[in-house]
Amino acid sequence: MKLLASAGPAVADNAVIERSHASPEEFAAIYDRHAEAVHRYLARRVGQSAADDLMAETFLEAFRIRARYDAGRADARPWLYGIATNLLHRHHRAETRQYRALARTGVDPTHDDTDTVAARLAASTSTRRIAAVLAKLPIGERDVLLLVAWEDLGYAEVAHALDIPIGTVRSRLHNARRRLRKALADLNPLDHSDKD
Amino acid sequence: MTELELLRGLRDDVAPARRSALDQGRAQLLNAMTAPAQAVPRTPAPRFRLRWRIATAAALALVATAIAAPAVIGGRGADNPDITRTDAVFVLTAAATAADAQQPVPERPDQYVYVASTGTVHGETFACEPAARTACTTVPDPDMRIERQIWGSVDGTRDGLLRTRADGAQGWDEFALESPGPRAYLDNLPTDPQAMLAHLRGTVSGKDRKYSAAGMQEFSRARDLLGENYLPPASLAALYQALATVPGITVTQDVTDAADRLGVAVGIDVPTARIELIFEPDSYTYLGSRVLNPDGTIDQETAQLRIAIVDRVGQQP
Repeated sequence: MKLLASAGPAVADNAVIERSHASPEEFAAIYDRHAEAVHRYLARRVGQSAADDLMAETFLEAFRIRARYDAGRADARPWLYGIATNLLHRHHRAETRQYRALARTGVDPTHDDTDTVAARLAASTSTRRIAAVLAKLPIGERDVLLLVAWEDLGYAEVAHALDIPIGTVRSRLHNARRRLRKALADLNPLDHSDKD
Repeated sequence: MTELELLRGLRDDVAPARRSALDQGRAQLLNAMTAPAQAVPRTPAPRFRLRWRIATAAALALVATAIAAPAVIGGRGADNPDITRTDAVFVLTAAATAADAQQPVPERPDQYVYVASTGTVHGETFACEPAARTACTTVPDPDMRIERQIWGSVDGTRDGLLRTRADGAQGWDEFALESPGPRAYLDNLPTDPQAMLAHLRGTVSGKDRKYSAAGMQEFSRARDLLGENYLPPASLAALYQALATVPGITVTQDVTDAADRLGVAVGIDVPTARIELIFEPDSYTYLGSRVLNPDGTIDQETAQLRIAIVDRVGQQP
């Protein structure tokens, strides 16, 4: 439910989750705030229809384990992305296959038929090379790379989401970026400065 | 351009989540909320459990308080000669008989259940909204009287509306009740007292039940159902008959409801509160409910003023 008239600052996620222990319905606010972002992340990795189910599952799982939520964290996004990423692993092979297909054919199999014709046009060489790298990346590196690049999570947030040390985040990201740079080296006037 | 920027462009044009997918995910989540014992999400809980959270916030907060408080103060009124189980069963049986004599009010799916009420039971409605960060955890102010008018979609497929007005305030505060939501015309409830009792109890998982005082669940749930929904006569009768079987129920004569109407109350004592349903003393129709503190003061109360089926949101019967 939303106020028709705009209200003051929203209550932070952790406060909402805290309340949801006594009033489960409160948790719907977490869905309303983050479902679209989580869906976007999932759809970007495995396509729309798989994302529909995974998104719903993510929030069911989040609701189920909400007692374990770290009450000190105001933003629930990293936690939700972590749950979503775990669920994605069941689709690891499909995801990899789709990157590989995109790399080979230049057509992205995750695009629905209903999408625009433009979306089905062959992708650029750089896109195909990126897809080839994603297909080969160890799953842990892929998770870190995409959470940083697509979802703009910081290192600490990724560490929290994936429940790994922050040093591991750095090293995985470093490796993944190095592979990408190598794959793209001859194409583009890439900025070679290493920002991580 | 860095490799990360190139990567950001990959599938950047991904289509946003379809409305239907978002709605379905939300419905699944709400179902899971209302059936916490069922870990399997695809087992849908009854839709009518999905009262909008704002409407149940106060009731749930009360339950939480009752569970959290360590002190056991039960039995208030047990030595009061006015309060006997026999009387309580009589009142509920009479209410069931009266309900059963009514004809069901016909409805169409595109209509709304309109309920007008006054009281303090939903006093946290304001407090729980984003405007106030901490107020949700405060005890409702028993002096803050709030009028409510709600238009709930008969089958939950249409947007409804909730209007509230604090005592003395000029205009109404309006809250959209987004669809899909819960049904407000509850023709999907059991009509058999045993099945109804199971329904009232079935919403607490085994683990939670351990902490739940006997009868509290049944009365809290009944109060939620009666508050701002339409129950057809058969289900209403079954509800009263089911409550009549709850151990520990007692009656309080000569109470006044939140609209200052005289009534007879049937209630249950739980460790930190007494939950009561109030009936009109001659016709035994439902008037409202209240929750009393251990010292007998009123914690929350609500009186139902009008219930009707209307065609449009905002329409007064």
